[in-house]
Amino acid sequence: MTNFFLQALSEVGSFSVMGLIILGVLFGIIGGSIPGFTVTMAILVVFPFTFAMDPVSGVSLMVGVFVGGYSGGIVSGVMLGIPGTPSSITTVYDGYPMAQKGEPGRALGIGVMSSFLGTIISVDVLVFFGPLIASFSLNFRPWEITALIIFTLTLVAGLSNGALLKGLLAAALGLLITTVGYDRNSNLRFDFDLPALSSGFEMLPVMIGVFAFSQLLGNIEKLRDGDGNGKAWTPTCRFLTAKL
Amino acid sequence: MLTLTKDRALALALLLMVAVMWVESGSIRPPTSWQPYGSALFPRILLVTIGLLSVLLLVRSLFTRVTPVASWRTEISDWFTRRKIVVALFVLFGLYAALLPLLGYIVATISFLVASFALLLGIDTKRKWAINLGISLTLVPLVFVIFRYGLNVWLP
Repeated sequence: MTNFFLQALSEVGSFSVMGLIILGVLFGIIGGSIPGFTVTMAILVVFPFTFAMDPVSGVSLMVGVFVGGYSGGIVSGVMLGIPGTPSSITTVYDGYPMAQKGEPGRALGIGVMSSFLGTIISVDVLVFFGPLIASFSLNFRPWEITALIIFTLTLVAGLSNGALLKGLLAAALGLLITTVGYDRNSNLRFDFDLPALSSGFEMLPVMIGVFAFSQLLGNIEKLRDGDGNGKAWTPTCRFLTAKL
Repeated sequence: MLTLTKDRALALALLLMVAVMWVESGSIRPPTSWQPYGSALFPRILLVTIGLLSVLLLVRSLFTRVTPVASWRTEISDWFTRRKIVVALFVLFGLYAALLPLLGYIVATISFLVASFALLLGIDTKRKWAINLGISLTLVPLVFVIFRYGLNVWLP
């Protein structure tokens, strides 16, 4: 196995491949920080460019976009309270309040560092335990999957933050949303005779609606209300010139 | 007289939704010999759960002390006054969704953005108009070009 590692390292360690990885990570971070622009979409955007590359360069570029994209989701999650990717939803719970309390840099730093450590740990686990986990996962049957789902539902209690009743309601509503459209037996459920509902709800629009849209409307209300001293919001573009 | 608090409004809205969904679940294909439980079973379990939790939320909200308000009418009127921008934006979203297939992406989106920015920024100074038109007239063609020529996605 060591030979494979050394061979892969020599391939990836070249200047051009490292450059492509850095480029991919930068693009991924930008893509991931845009709410609604998923990592998959970011990979699809760079995908046509890989046609003209050799396999190592192409895969390296896409891995860079993939890793950068998941880290980029932290940016909008911390700064706007809108998770850029589904994986950064839980980052919002701690990161956004920290940003509101004047610690956006610390929140982003912790997020990036956690993302980096998580990636390193997951790579180690994949390399050393991948074959073992793969053979173990083949033993998963319906009751194991059910146990896993029940375990995820118990997380509701932990994430509800004191409002258990509303947390359970939200979880049940989330499950209900997944029943819209065709089920596994090709039976149509809750389509209300609307063809658009027959394919059900995709994760991305639901996530945008629940997190991004509600956050934006909340922000609009706050902005129009002013700062509470009767001073209404007036638009400025000063921040742009200040940053430039 | 009872005051319509957030929890009460949520519980009532959820109970209404459960009733509508329960009726709609009647149109799901009934159980067959090879699918004895039917496709409606799981959604109905969820609907019963949501219904029970909503009733609990409603009951709990009744025991919570709230500041009485003048009248329902005043409260609803205040609610709309406070959120008139948000309500107007929702109306604009609906209009945009309806007009997009008819007018096409460029005309519909520019109209929507100009109207939304006018609503959010205001229209009292030339500077606000410049920001409004500047963003609307550059962003929409840019997105169109990226989708049409960069990603080969045909927009209406």
